[in-house]
Amino acid sequence: MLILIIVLAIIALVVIWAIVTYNRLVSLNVSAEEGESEIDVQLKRRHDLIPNLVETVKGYAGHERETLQRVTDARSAAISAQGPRDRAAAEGELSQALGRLFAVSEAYPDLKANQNFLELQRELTATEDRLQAARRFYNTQVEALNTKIQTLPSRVVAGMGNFKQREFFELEDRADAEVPSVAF
Amino acid sequence: MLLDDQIKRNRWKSWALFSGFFVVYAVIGAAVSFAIAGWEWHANLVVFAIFAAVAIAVVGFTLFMGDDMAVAVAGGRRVTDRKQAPELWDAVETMSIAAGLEMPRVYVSADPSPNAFAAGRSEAQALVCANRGLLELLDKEELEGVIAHEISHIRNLDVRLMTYAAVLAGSIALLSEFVLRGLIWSDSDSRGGVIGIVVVVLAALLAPLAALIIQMAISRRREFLADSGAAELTRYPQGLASALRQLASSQARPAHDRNAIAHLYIVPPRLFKEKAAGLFSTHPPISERLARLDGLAGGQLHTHRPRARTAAMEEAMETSRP
Repeated sequence: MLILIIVLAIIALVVIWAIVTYNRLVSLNVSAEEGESEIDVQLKRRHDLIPNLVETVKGYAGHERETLQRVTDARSAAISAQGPRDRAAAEGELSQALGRLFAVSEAYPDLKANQNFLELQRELTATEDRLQAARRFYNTQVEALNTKIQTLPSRVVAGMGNFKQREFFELEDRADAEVPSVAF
Repeated sequence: MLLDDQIKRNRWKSWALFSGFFVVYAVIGAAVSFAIAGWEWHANLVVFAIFAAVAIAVVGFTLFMGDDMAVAVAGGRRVTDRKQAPELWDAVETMSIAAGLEMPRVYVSADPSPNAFAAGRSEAQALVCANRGLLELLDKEELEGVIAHEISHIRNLDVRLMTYAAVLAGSIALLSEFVLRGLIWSDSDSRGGVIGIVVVVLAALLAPLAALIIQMAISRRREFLADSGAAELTRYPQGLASALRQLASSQARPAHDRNAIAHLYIVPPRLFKEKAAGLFSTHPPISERLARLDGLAGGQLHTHRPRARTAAMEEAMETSRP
């Protein structure tokens, strides 16, 4: 009788632990999803700003065709990229292209004085900041989630609940990136 | 986990705070009723009932209006459009994204002393209020550090406890004032007699002390946690460290003495600091906070230069300039 009670108590404890762990996994998963949709919002914002920027620059520096084309191409590539890793790579590419565009625009005083251009530049910088923030939040959640999925004992619950590890959203560190050479 | 512990402790302390508040009110109520009516049972009950009603009203007010109250004391004006305070708005928006929280309401106070605080009832019902002096003094990374500190307070549920404490402590101070005033022009000789006077004096002296104790019981270690939370959100402890150094050494004086909400601010307001010098400190010393941030920055704390870490695009722009 006593043994039965002990066994039942242990089973009850295990069940409670499993429920708590399961809920924790669900909430981490939800957080990661929220983080991902926040990243989406910021990326969308960025993609929406670019055509306007390209048009504005064209008006002042129309013969910088190559630079402008690179931004437009990088934008299309970024929009069509799928999965965190590819998207991050494409976005990094886009940041590079934008950086080059702003570098080129330094040579055009009229463009630099354009209110619309300044506003777009500011807005893009702010969007980049928010994107980095969203990425940090997402990666933090993913790290916690993946750790739980990989480590025992929570791994057992994750396996039964069919939780999948998520990919990190890593934007390339621009310090490592090749310095673009600009020809005027 | 350290942070989960802190959140649990905050929940528990909120309850303890309200209970403690009721006890203080009950003591004062009893004292006043004896002073007015002596040992007359019915009269005592009436006075006591009035006090209970006031206490409940104050608690209700605190629960639903506490954050508005705090921001009113600070003289904050609501910012509803980014254009009114672009730097502050961007910092609050970016840092709440980094914390995965809804963007809190944004307020600016005309106060020239550089300071900021957060208040609120929950993660979703919170606000950040910055003084004009803060926005003028700090650069982007420093401001982000300060705002991240405030957002951490919101995330850790510190704001709820600190806001409640501010309003409850304020109401106790107000009450003790009433009691003292009442004592001066009441005809105490014919009522409770000497005992009554002694009790009232005692209650009136106890009340401000109780308020002070509530204030200081509440801060300190949570400041360290919010600092490290800020470092986590910005990944740049140097920004907050540089901001703290400037806030601590700033000579600008607050426009008003804001004692009731002193413990909410990121650094203690100057007037409060001088009056309470060390004895009843609500914040750990800046040097200690900097030392801990230095640990998080891997000993690289003094490396912040204005705009050292500009946005990635500007950086690319710099390096590719011919």
